[in-house]
Amino acid sequence: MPYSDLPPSAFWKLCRQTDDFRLSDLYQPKFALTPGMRIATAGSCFAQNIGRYVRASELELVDTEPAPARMPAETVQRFGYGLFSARYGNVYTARQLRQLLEDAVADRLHDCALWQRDGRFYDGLRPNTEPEGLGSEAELRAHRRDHLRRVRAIFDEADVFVFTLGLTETWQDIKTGVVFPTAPGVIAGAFDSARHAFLNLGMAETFEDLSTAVTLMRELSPGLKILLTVSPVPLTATASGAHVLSATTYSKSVLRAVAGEMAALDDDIDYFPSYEIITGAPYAGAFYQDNLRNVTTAGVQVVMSTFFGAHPALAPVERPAMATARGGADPDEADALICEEAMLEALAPK
Amino acid sequence: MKLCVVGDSHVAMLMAALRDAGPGAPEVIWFAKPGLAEGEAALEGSRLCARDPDLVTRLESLGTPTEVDLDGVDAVVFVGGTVSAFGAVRLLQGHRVSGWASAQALIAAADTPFAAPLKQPLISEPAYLAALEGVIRESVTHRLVTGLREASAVPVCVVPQPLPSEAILETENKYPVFKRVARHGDGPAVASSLIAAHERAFAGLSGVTVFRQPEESIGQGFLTALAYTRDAVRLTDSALPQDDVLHAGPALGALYLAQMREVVQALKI
Repeated sequence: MPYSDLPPSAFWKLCRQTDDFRLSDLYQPKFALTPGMRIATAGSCFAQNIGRYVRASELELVDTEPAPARMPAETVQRFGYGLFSARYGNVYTARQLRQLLEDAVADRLHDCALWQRDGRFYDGLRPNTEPEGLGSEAELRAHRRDHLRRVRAIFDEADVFVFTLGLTETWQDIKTGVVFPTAPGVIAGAFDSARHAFLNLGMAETFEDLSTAVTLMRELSPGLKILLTVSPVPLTATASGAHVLSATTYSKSVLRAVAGEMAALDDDIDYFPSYEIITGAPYAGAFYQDNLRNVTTAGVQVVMSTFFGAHPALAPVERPAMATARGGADPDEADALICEEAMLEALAPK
Repeated sequence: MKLCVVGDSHVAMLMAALRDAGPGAPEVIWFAKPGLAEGEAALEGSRLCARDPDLVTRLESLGTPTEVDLDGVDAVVFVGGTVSAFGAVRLLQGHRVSGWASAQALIAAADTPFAAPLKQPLISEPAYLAALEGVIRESVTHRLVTGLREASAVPVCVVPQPLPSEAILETENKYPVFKRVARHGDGPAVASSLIAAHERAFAGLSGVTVFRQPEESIGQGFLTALAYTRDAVRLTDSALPQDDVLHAGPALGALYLAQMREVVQALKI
């Protein structure tokens, strides 16, 4: 019978009977990570945690654009050093990753991304990395070009590229199709409704963008393994016209589906379910801070302990004491709705 | 005028200046040891307390009690203990500041299509300044000044470590990064960045004056002229090694003492 030979982790009820919803069974890596492997990272804000833990582990974090020696930690972070494998800031969308890689390969600048504010010059494709801007356009162009070469250099070093998908919503320059990590005018630049447009990338576009990005990475590094994750951090705001909860659900659903599809189609692409750990119903939102958006330190630690725990060659990350799957008065209370799927429970191993 | 001078080995330039001063020189409590570090001295309210046995020994030799109430002096002078020109140069060990004039050639090289990554990556001037400011904010002097400001309104003077001696450029097989910075013509920019970073780090603390190294004592735009490093001494008043390039002598100390008089007088009015 189908289901009868499946492991306990395949059954909701059996997962629920354990303290942590069988968290250690949640992730079986496709490829093993071993000490000394070189890991590159990119993605949304949540991805910064991955870099931090990789740096503290026996893995090596690829960093082709390091901060000056002895720069204080606060300055390092404020100027976008050490957050990822190069100083690209947050890469929220698959389109942004694709564009970054295409620019790196083509050594290409976009005039529409040379932003200004109060006489200072900002890189519209990573405006937060120089919060006070640069002194001239020539200086900005030099910084951007050298940055792109260091992005390319990541693939001379990396064994594994970890990308955390964050958003589907973005802003683009209508004429060129260039996408920005923030709307023009928020940090620098100027919003012009005739030049800039909101874009909410769908399944097909996200899949194509990510596929193209993977192809580009493989051209630079044929043996590269790729690990995808989805950020569990909800949208701060949506320009889609929808309620922010609906917009978040749409965005994360697209990203989760694309990540799953990519991983299913390619033996060298894996998916790690950090999204599920933080957002999953069994954990009842316990890993979110009071604003229901930011992930708690304990939540990050649970994610990382699950990840490192799945790679026995690496030293484990301690799992903090965690709230269990939410208990109810009667866990077997019948669902009031008719649900054929519930019948599958009967096939679970005893 | 009664001062308490707190700091590291650079306090000795003021000691030597005072030794040579005529009548009317300020009365000074010396609270210093070479390389005064975090935790070796601590504030309890407005009382500065020695916490390190070596500092206690040093204070005994200077005739200073191990606890000094800083509210009892006209001004407190902190010398050194922030970031020096050496620290500023260390940040440039692998990087070049893109906003400085010397970087024009690098900027042109970087903006050439399909060029290789720069051997020395660019760092922006704001990032460099922020790094210096950050180092100062984490320093023993900044922590003590901040703590003192919470406990007392006594005027505070901050004297950053003097720029190294012009002799540094004549040393053999030493200070290669410093010499590279000088060769690129970046020395004056390093010196002005140090001034700006100190002023930013202590901005907002009322009654705190950050002293600039007097123009007449500066050689080549970023070093201490030889006339002002001559006769530099240790805290024990003994001579420093011939090849010392870190310390300034009584001539610079005298210029600072004159500045202090003006500042304290102005604050008293």
